Amino acid sequence: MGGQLRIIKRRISSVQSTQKITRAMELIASSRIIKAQQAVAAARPYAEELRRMMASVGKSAGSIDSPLLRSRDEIRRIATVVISSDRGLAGAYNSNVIRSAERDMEDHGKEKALYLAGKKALSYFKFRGYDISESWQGFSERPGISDARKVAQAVAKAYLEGEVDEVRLAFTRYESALTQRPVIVQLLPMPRDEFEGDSGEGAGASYEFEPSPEEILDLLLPRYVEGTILQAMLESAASELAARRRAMKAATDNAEELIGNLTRVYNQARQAEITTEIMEVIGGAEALAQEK
Amino acid sequence: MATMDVSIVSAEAEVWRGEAEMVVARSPEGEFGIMRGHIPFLAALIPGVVTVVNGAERRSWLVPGGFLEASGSMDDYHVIVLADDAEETGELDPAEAARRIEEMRQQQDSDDDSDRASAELIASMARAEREHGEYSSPG
Repeated sequence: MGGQLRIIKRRISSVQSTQKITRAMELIASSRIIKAQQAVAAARPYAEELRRMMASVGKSAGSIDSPLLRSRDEIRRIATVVISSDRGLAGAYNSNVIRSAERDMEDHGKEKALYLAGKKALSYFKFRGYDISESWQGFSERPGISDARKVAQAVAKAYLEGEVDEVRLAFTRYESALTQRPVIVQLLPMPRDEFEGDSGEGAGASYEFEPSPEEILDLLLPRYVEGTILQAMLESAASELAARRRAMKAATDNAEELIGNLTRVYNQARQAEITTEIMEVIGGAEALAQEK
Repeated sequence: MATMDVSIVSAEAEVWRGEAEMVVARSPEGEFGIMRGHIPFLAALIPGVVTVVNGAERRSWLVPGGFLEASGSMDDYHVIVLADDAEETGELDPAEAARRIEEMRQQQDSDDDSDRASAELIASMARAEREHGEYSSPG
């Protein structure tokens, strides 16, 4: 076998082994995506009930007030929470959410504080010399309430201590298996309209509270922040998996095509080599015949 | 007996949903039981056990904190427990349960003496409940 042939052969087998990896990653992402979707759906009732309870408190207490709800007159510094993944190989998933967060920060033009979930956001912002307040990693594919709590506590503390005047949350909304969109929502102060709407049934009912409505509200609000962050993390996890599945499917398809092309080149080269050999044999035979 | 719709929901998922005659839980003001038709009620929960009673059947969860809301009409009454976390006590032995409640309470970083006393009370009640399989009736 000629040198040319051997080189092509080696390339084919290297593409094949890459393809095996990308196909495996595609399959893994596909199987996890269902679980991630279920987790998103499972966490929904909690958020809905919390919102209803806050509406009940609001109704009975007349008006609701809390430092977490009050917007400040002067916004000096804005904290942004960015939810990214720990691993790459997920297409544009990370760069989309990171870019939209960055654009959002530029649009507001205030002092920045960054709270980053996931290795990818951390390495991006660190490389660009941003000042990072806090970062977390190790849960991007399977976030739980304890992870959301860590983030919620850090930003709530910064907000209540006056270190930042607003907290925004950048994550990737899972709209469907095909569409995931980076979005940014305001986390603190909490937008009142989220739960000041009509609580529907139970409206007008006078509640009995234990302890007082104010104390209950103080307990409800932090939970609501945690719940919002958890929901964002879960949707991001599902989006990450969907993006990875798509990226890995594209990579597998590309590898397939590449292998096809290389095989064709290989066959051509082999044919050319055989032809050359035949010509040499014929040439040699003719030369011998002439010598006689 | 009159039953109502009860659901226990944690931040990550709905833990349990079903019919029950009574729900027993604990707020900072003490232990309480809710039955169908109770006036609309919203309570914060402190570390302890939430028990759902339906006839002879009872199920309990260890809850570090959360909320309980009871509302609705006589025909459509429901109780929702929003738990920070909920672990069904099931096979858990009473001493272990008591220890866990104490642990949860300590996590809430309160060194208030009265709080400690109430945690001990909860712990001993959980123990008593296990040992006698009976609730010292709240009503």
